[in-house]
This record gives sequence, C-alpha cells and structure tokens, in this order.
Amino acid sequence: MTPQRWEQIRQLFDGALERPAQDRAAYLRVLCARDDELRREVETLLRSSEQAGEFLETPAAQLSQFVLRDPSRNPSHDDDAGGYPEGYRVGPYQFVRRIGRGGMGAVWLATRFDQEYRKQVAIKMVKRGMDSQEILRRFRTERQVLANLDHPNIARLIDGGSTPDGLPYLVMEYVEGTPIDQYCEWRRCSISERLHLFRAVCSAVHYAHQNLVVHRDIKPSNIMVADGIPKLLDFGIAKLLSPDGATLDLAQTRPEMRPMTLDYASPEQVRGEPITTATDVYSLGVLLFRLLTGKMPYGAKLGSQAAVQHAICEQGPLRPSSLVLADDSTGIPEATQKMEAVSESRDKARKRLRKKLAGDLDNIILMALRKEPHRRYLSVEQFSEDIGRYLEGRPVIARLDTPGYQFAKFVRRNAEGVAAAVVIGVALISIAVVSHDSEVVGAAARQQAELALQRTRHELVAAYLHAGEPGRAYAAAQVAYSATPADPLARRDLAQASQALGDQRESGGNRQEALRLYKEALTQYEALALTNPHDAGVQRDVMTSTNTLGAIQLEAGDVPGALSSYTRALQITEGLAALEGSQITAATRAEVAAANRRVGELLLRNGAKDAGLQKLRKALDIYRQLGANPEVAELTRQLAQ
Amino acid sequence: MDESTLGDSGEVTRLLGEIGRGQKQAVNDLLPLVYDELHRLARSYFRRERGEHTMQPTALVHEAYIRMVDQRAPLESHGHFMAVAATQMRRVLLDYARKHRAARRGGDDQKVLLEDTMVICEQRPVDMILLDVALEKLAVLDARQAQLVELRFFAGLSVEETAQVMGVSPATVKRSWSSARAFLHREMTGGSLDAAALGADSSAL
Repeated sequence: MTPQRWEQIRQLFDGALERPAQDRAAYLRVLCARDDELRREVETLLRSSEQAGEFLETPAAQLSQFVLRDPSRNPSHDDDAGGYPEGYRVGPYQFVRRIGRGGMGAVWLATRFDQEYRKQVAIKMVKRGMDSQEILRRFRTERQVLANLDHPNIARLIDGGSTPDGLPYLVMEYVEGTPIDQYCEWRRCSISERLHLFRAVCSAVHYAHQNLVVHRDIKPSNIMVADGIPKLLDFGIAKLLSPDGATLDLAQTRPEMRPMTLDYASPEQVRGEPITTATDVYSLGVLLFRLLTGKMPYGAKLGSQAAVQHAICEQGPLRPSSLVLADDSTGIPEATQKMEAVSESRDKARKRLRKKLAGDLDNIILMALRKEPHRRYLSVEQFSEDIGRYLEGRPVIARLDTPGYQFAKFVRRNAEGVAAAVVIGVALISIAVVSHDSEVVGAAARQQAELALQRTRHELVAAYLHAGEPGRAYAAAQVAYSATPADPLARRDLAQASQALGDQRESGGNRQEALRLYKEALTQYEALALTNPHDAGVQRDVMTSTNTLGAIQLEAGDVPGALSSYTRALQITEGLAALEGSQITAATRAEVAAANRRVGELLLRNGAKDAGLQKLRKALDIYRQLGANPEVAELTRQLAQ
Repeated sequence: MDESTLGDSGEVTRLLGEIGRGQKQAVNDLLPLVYDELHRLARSYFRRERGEHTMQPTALVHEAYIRMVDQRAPLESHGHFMAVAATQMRRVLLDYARKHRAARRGGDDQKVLLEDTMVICEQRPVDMILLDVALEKLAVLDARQAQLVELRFFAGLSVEETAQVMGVSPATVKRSWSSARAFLHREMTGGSLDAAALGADSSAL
C-alpha cells in the first residue's frame, strides 16, 4: 500500500462512516466503481472498526504488568485498570461503573448500601500512582471548597474519606445529565430557554464567588443538565479568594498539569496573570457565545495552540450575530426552523435569529469577553441581570466599546504603522467632537466625547512610547497638552515623552536639545508634584528627572548647575524617606545615601570641603547600616584621602 | 527527589523553546532526555515499597513533565513536550515488553510469552509488540496518524488535548483516530486484505 492509496482509502472510510450503515454498501459501490480491491479495503476497515470495540480507547495502562512480572519479584494479580474493579467498596459505597476519567483521577458511579437506604452517588478518586503531593493538595482544596457550597445548581458534596491504602475520595451528588451545549442542541432549545439555563449557571457561579471561590474551569463538559436543571461540577482547579478578592496563593501560578482547556480560558489565564472572579465572567461569556451560536468566539480554524493563545490575548471576538448567516450548523430552532420544508423560510428564520442576536445580545456577550478583566461585567450577577433585562425587553447596560477606545486599541496594536496618523487621528476625532457639538446634543454627550478624545490622546502617546518612537510621542503629547493643560494625565504624558526624547537626543550626541527636554520634563513633573505633595510616585518621578538633569549638566561641565540639581534631588529624596516614615524601604535608604554621596562629591569638587565630607560621612553611615560593602569600602577610601 | 533531574529543567525548557521556533534538531536532543527520565521514573517508582501499586504511562508522562520542564515555561511547551513524551513512552513500553519476553524465554511455554508483552487496558490486553509493528506500518502510510495514536494511547491525551498538540480541530482528530484505530485493529487481528485472502479468521483476537 502507498500513502496515496491509504489517503484514498481513508477518505472513503470517513465518508462511509458518516452515512447510515445501510447506505454504505451503495456508497462504496458507486465511488469504487471498478476498483474492487479498493472497495474491499474500505469494507474490511469498516468491519475492523465495528469489531474494535474499546480497542486503544483507554490509554496504555498499568506498567506494573511488566515490572511486577520481573522473575525476581513476586507475581501480582492486581490487574485492574489503574483504578478499582467493579464492585470495589469504600466505606458504605460499592462501585458500579466508571463514568468519567481525567488525567489525575476517575469518577465512579457507586451505590450506597445502608440497610434499606439505597442511593446512587458519584465518587471521585485519585488514580493510584497519581497521589503526588500536588494532586493530593488539589484534592483537599476541592473538598474544602465543596464543603462550603450548597446551591441547587452545584453538584453537592455528600461525603469524603480515604481508601484503606490511603487515597482520598470525594462522594458527590450523582448528576445523570447531558453537557449543557449538547442538551441545548438535542432538545433544540429556543434562545430564551438557553438564556434561562445560562442564568441558572450564573447563579451557581455567583454563589461560589460570594463564598470566595473562583471556578476557573467553566465549560460545557462541567455543566450537566438533568431534568432541565443545570448543575456545575468539578471544582478540581477552583481557587479560594482572600476576602479582598485576590487569589490566595498567587505564588503558585504554574500551569495546570493537565493541559488547560484553552477554548474557555481567559487572557489572564493564558498569560498566567492573577485570577479573579472576572476570569469566570469571561469563561461564562465564551459559554454563552457557544450556546447562542454553536461556535467559538475566535473562529474554528485557528490551527496551533499558540494561535489560539494569541487569539485569546489579542484578537477581538467575532460578533455572535455575524456567525448566524455564515454557517448552517447552528442547532437553534430559530436558525433552522422548517429547514426541511422550504429553503426560503430557512433563510428567513436565520435572518430572524441574526436580528435577535444583533444589538443587545451581541453587546452583552462582547462585554463579558473583553480582554481587560476590569472592563468586563463587575460581577457574574451583573452579567446575569443584564440578560434578565434583555429577556424583559428593558435596556441593557452592556455597550459597545466607545469609538475612541477602539481607535486607541488599534493604535496600540499598530503603533509603528500609524506614524503619520498622530495629527490626522487627533484631528479626525476633534472633528467628531465638533460635529457632535454642532448637533443638538446634550452637554453630557459632549462631555463624554471630550473624555473619549482625551483618553485617545493619552493612548496615542502611550502607544508611541511603547513603540520606541519618542519623537512622535512628544509631538502627540504636545498636542494633547495644549488642548487640555489642566489634565494631569496630559501633563504626565508630556513629561514622560520629553524625558524619553531627551534620552534619545542625549545618546545621539545632541546635548543641548537633551538638556532642554530634560528641563521641560522636570518642569512638568514638578508641577504635578506641587498638586500631589503626598503622592510618592510623583515625587519619585521628580527625583529621577532631577538626577538625570544633574548628570547631564555635570557631563556638560556645568558644575554649579549639577550641584543645584543634585541638591534639589537630595531634598526630594529625603522628603520621600519622610513620607515612608518607619516603613522606609532599603531601596529608599540606598537612594538617600546615593543622593548624599553625589552632593558630597560635588561639594568637595567645588572646594566646600567640610560640607562635602559631612555628606559623604552620612552616606557612609547609611551604607554601613545597609551592609552595602563595596560602597562602604569605596567611601572609606575617599574619606581617608 | 533524590536523584532528581530537576537541574535539567532549564535545558529541557530551552529545547522546548527551540522546538517552538521550528528547530528540528532540538527534538532529537530532547528525545533521549525524556526517554531516560521516563525509564528512571518507572524504575524508581517500583523500587519504593509500594509494589502493589500500578503505574500508568499517562501518569509517568505527566510526572516527567512536572519534573523536567520549568513550570513557568509557556503553555505551548506543554504540547511539544507531550508529543516527544508520547513517542518515548511507546518506546519504554516496547522495551519492557521485549525485555520480559526475553527473560521468560526458555522453559516457559509460548502462551506466557505472549501475555508478557501485553499492556492491560480497560477492556482487554493489547500486545505491545504487535501494536508496534502495526504502528510502524501506519507511520509509513501517514506519519501524522501514527503520532496521533501515540498521543491518544501512550500519553493518554483526550481528543481536545490531542487536537491542541497537533494543531488541528477535534473533529479532524476524531476522524483520523477512527481510521487509524480500524487500521491497527485490522493489522493486529490479521484482518488485512492480504490475510483475508489467505482465509484468516478476521474476528480472532
């Protein structure tokens, strides 16, 4: 057989499998025309496929079979599939059959025997051989999490314990259901039925959040619907939040041992950033997207895992409504009603669904799917209430991103490509504001537009700085500053851009220009500091800026200028130290020492010997306390001279 | 963690990074490292006192990942690692099978020999040596399908996980999986066309 021949056989085989068994013979007769051998190949393959049963379906198991049969060892007949045989008992529970399997463990259907009391439960076991510290820890977390959760839409924890050989297990409510997406598809639920189911899931997740639990793994296979009631399962990788909302063990950010289900993962999960309740809001957004369109937000043909990650972090999701007309396979009756009847009516039905999704539902889903956690719904409850408002026909709070924001996003993504667009871009938006102005719009709308414009200008400067284009950043910052001199953000942008451009001029050898820019940066920082005397961040900016200026003055041979800059920097640094008070950090103390030293050295150079020595001794004291040995050695030598 | 190879995690992570950038040589450098680690894990596991335990290759592969790869490595490294580890797990199992057959040779009868090359799966045992021969045939016809079998059967990845590692859709994995499984089953049960022509009983296992 050649690869080409196999390819041919495979395609026929795939095609035959897609057809009902009784149609296959005819299908093969037609397609294999005169090639009897080809037909026999496919037929034997189909027969093998039927006979194969569970062949290879369970991963290779039980290495001990080999090792334990080593002649030097005692033979063992412990030969169940890395788990437990049917009929195995733990406590009052007897295993019936395995109903689920994960990388670390398995879930068994079991019956509880208690005199007359008989009840079916699901038992989650750690697999033998998988009882590493990490997995046991996770198991304990899940048990702790579940013990505190009692909600109609969360599978209940009934019991827990350890097997005789010390492996922990959890006894859970047995939910004999269907994953929520399949349930909707099979039952051909309407949009509003889907939304109601989804809101029930939201109530479970919100309840968990109120109990400081983030699920982190919301996806259809973890939501089983039985008797029309969805139940959230598998808190296996849930996180406990501390009351202030941060996850408790941020240090433990290593990727999960089982590969993460990327499809429902949020940007912050992909990037390994802190997880909050907003993470569940995002995954719920993906779930709703899927329930309403049958598709995933970033399209199906993404190829590699890296591409999926990139899409999650960078690419905007598709608009749910745009998918309805693009494809047939939406399993929603609104989309496929009377599909078999007349093709016209099918098109109409799909247009109707598209109309339903366009607008509020689109906005609701896209709001949950925003990349930045803080820009999503504030809570799952808010998300769910917005759907409630939609169902009742009231206005929803979800809005599309403002044009200004979207423009800024565009600039950020394409920073280098928008070289000439600074002026044009700002001009365009100015025109938009003006035209807003000329229409009879409320003052509030105008104010909103102004704010959007302001934010866009800021985004432009940030984008250029980020792209390493300080010249353009400076130009953009000047435009912004002249438009709104009172806006502290504009002031800061101008300061940062001046500083960055100054650095560029300095390294390009244009010292005069660099000096001018550094001075301009300093002026802006000092103005900011004046209005925020207790803001350590601003003070630090002034300090850095002053020091930079001093260094370049010194290089230019302007000793008095440098001395005055360094003296000013010393004052600010000491002010910073005072702000930190008893909480002063080693870093700040080192800054104070360095500032004293700089001033001391310059004073000496200027002939002010006593004052200079005094500063150097002060620096030496601090360095000694900090245990900064090289500095101590050097200063000691300097002072000895 | 006595004779741990944790010190290598930087090296392994670096190699995974190179694989990510498309440097094929890195795969060859990584293969022996992973093979050794899987072997070492299997041996050390059974040297501990819990001889009654069973150890699943899937678990070994995951443990190897945790021990060998810097846990801050990018997520895609996981996929590259799994692809390499699946191939090597297949080799580890095959080695065990061959070794034990050799150890049993002489004295014992053929039946025992056969049993010793089996990996027990949920429903029925799978003969590792026969599977290896069949897989080699499949690899000649379609290397990607052979890799898929390694990922699903030897590394124990789910359809979705396999799809991620191979960069294809789950639907493609499912389709490809069923023809690969049918092919292997046919090869291993003597049900291929050549054998059928000779009148072999295709239903025998």
